[in-house]
Amino acid sequence: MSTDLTITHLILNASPVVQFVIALLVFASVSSWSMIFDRMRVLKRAVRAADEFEGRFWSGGDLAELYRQIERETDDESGMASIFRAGFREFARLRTKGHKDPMAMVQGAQRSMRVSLNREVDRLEHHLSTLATIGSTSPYVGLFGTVWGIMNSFTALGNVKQATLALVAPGIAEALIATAIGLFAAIPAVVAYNRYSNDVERLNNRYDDFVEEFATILQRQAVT
Amino acid sequence: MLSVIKRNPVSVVLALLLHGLILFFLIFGVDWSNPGKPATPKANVVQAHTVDAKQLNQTKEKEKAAEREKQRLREQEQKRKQAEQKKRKQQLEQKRVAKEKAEKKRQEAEVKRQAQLKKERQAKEAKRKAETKRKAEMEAKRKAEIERKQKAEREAKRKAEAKRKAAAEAKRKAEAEAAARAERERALQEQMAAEQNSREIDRYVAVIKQQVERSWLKPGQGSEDLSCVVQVRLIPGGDVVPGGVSIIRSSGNAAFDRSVESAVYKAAPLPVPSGLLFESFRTLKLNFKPSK
Repeated sequence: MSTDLTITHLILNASPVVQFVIALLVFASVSSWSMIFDRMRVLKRAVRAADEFEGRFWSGGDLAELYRQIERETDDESGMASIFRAGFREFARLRTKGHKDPMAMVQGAQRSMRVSLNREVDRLEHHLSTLATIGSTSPYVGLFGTVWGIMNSFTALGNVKQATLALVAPGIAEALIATAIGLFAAIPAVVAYNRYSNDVERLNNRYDDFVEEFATILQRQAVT
Repeated sequence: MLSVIKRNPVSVVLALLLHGLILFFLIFGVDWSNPGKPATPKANVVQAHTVDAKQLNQTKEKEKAAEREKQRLREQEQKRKQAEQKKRKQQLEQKRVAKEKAEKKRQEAEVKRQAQLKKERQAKEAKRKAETKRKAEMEAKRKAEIERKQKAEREAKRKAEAKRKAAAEAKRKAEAEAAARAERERALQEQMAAEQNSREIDRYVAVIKQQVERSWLKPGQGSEDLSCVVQVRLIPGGDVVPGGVSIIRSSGNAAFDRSVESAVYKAAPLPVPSGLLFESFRTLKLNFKPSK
């Protein structure tokens, strides 16, 4: 057995199971990082859009005008804008239908906004569960690879009379690589999951607040 | 994953890039610990520039002059050097001569010293010999003295011993004589005592016989020429031990014997002496014969 202990050498010399585990973990790491970058972009954009929309909403313009503007901007309806549109559309529709009960109109609009909000939050939370899964399971997967590798290395050790450190060390080293990669995949995933779920929670709260405020405004309009 | 690729391929590319970077650092980062190869030495570069002929000539002239000057200087130098060498040689020669002289002197001194040393050694040797002789003589004297003393001592001892022996002998003789005399005296005394004792005993025996005969009932007629010897055992005080009377020599007449026996019993206590004399009466043999 060669004593070359570079990482590439160890990985190439590892047993098939360990190699498979390593490949799995590398894939998990790549996908988790992809999701991290993806979420980073999506959440940043959502926050920015929310800021922008709140600015526009509270600038004191006509709501119908705002609605029309948003309708015209047919890019991906993100965040608060889509909630506003769903609510306002429902409200307008009910009003044109000639409903006289203001509470019913507001409630309808609120329901429709709630649906839209759920959809938005779901869109933001997309993939976060995958990140959590990677974060929690990849150490175990890596550990499995390590245990398997050490098992193999000890089985090989059983066949010789004189056990030397040089005989076991490479096997254990290559087995430990699996754990290392597992941790390498898991740590960023866990960190990102915590960070992003917190971000999503805060956005959710903002949306909620907005829904309530908008409902209040609609109610005021319906009563007058 | 697929949806991410579809929706946001940039992030996937970024992730792949990141992993590639990490892998690169992992693989090549290990090699960083090895020292890098030393840089190959640079080749020598020839510095070239153009010159014109006149200048060249001038410079040549100059060089020649310089060369001549140099030659001169070199010759001078050589001369100087030769002179110096000569001088040095002379100096060396002088030094050598001086050294030789000094060496000769030193050798002479050495020879002298050696002679002196030899003399001294001889003197020492002689002294030593004399000393040893003296010592040997002294030793012999001492030995003779010791021997003499020992002899005298031995003689004295021997004499003393003889004297002591003679004295002892005389003493022994005197003692023996005295002992013999004492013995003789004692024997005499003993004899006298024995005689006295036997006399005394005889007296007592006679008294005892008398007392026994007084209480003897003679068996009457026909017993006049009979006799018997009876042995009596006594205790101090004169009493007869019961059963202590036995006939040693019977008379042949049983009645006579019995009469003697009963007479002894009847006569008890017998008059016996006290003290040492009683010892002769512990077993008493009596011869009875009807005297009348």
